[in-house]
Amino acid sequence: MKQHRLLSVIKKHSFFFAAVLLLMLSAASCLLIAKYVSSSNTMTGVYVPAPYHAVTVLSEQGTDEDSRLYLTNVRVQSGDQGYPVYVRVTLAVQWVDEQGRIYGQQPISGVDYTLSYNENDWSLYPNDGFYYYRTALPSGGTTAPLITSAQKLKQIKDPPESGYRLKAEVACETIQAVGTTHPGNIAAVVDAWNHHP
Amino acid sequence: MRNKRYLAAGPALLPHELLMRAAMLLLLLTLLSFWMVCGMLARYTSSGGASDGARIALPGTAVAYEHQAVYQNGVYTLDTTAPPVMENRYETVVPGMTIPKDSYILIDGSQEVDCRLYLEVCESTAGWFSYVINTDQWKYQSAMTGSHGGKVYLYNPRIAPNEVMEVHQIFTDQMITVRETLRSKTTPTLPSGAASIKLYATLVQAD
Repeated sequence: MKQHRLLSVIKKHSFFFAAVLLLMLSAASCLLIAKYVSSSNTMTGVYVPAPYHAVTVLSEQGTDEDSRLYLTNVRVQSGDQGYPVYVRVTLAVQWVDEQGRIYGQQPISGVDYTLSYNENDWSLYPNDGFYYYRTALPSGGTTAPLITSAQKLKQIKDPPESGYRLKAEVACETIQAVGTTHPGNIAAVVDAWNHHP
Repeated sequence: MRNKRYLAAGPALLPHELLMRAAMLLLLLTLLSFWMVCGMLARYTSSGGASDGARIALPGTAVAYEHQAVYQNGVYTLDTTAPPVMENRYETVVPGMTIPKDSYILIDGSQEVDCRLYLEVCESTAGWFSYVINTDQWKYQSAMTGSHGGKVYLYNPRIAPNEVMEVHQIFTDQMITVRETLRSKTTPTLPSGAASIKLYATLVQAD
């Protein structure tokens, strides 16, 4: 009779009994897992990628009284990007007409024009024909002249055909002077140019 | 009939059903309160003396530091003469660059129980960096995810009560490397954005 009554009570209040049971179980598990935890500050490192700026070629170029080309004081100025760069330069000398068409025969140094280079500060790498600045150029810095006023390119012969003129174009490249490849630990300049100035 | 019986007993008594419900509610509330505070029932410690008392043991403090980074002409170094810092900004990060990191954790010895030291490493932008957490001291917990979403490492061994110590060499070789894929090395670019690596040190009661 008593059991019957108890069962009927439980049945009548089943929701409450279920809630109580759940709470008792979760309380027991909380006792098992509750521990003290102490967290520290945050140690933060923030990293901002540096830009890579194009370089500027500085030079003095013009024609003399005979309408012959001269080129001098050729220098390279790097961008202000916050890190040093290596510099290499090549010079293309051609006969071109007003439309920019290139004459089939290339001008010859020593015959059509005179030219020498500042090899104190620049070195020629014969494998690719580039002149490499011997040291890394600081951010925003300017190289010593590749062609000084004493060594300037000067046209000494008239064009092979009328309508053509001598044109000298300086092409320049730079590469970051820091950082290496991973894996391999190869300097970026060697990885890119296969040559270390 | 039921009502007459109650009236005969006196107006102070509540019906049986209401009594049961009240008792259940009281029990429920008691258990709820117990459940809410049971997380605080950690280990007790007692101090000696004429008037013994008991209080809850302290878990201690772990703080992460590293030395200030100094940049000059494309190279980062660490200024070990200046006080350590909790944040470093690297404003000129270049592909393939190696950045020195002597991050370490100072435990102040205020822990009164055995503790385990956890380290969470959070990288905001995947793929920018290459580094290794020192596996001689730290074991990667692959089954855990940190509360900040980072990777979790467990320091071995346990931290003893009241032990003051510094845990160094978090990064193997004390450096991280910037991946070459960060940006082009040869095409002029103005990259935007920044990335971060955050370290969180946590002491957890061991038992």
